[in-house]
Amino acid sequence: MERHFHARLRLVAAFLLLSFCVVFASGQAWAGEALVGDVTLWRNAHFVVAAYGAVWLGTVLYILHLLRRIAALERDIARLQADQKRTSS
Amino acid sequence: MTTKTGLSRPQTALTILAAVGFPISLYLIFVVTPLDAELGFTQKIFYFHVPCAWITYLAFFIGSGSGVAYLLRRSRRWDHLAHASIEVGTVFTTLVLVTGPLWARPAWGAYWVWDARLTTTFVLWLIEIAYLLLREFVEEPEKAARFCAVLGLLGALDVPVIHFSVVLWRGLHPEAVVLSQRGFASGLPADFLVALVVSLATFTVLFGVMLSLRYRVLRATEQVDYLRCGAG
Repeated sequence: MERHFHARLRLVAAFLLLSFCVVFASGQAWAGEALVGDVTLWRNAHFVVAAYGAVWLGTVLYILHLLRRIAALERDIARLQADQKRTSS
Repeated sequence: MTTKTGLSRPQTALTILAAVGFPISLYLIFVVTPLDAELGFTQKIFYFHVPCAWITYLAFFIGSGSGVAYLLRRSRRWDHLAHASIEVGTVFTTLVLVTGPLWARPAWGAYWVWDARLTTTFVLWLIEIAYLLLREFVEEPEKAARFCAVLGLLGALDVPVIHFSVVLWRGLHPEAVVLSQRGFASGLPADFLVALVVSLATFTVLFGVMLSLRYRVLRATEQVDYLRCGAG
């Protein structure tokens, strides 16, 4: 129950965080006057590489997390089915 | 039928395809494709931003279609498919909203502007979050499924608005280059197009893997709940 509550809170927190980022970024007070020409290859390369890396790493971790959950749920199913068989026989 | 990894055969095939497609797409994006004359390295985000946007559309298409199928058939399988699709789609919409501003900063001088394309995408993201919150907070699964199917349809109406927003309201966002009125990927140089197509295919396969795994988790969770109710 507590874990379920935390999952809900995580969702609400993620929503609030991104909404805040979008609204804050739209203020643009800190955007300055930087244009494409001002951005060096490294300054503008590192975030692209970081974004690619973060997403691919994130997806791999997400898939592994789902696989672990499936394995745990399938173990639960097998255990519950065995319990049911025992009680019925 | 599952393998030792816990993946079914189609899932294993999709995972291998994604694992092969990933380094190929990175090689094409960072090595083969030349730097854009105007945007420089920031243009590389395009091969990542566009596939994420495509997956957002696809996820909503599957999610709302499955929602309609649920309303017609009342089968939990359709509801699980809709739930899984919108949930995975939310991840990709979030990526669209993160990668877009990363590109916009050097291109426009600002991370975010209330341009029609950006605003309608943000509205879609809000609908997705509302969908997930509805799933979490409505206790009765049948009622949650019904409400979410209707909300999914509402969100699906936003998808064409997002796509055509650059034509309907001319703003800062560049016009569509993949599915434009002039035809598929018209005006895109061949080497840029190859990298984009490989990236699109890889992301689509990856979405397939994530969707099928999330669907299996939802099915298995329901089965566990059912067995626990039976035991109790």
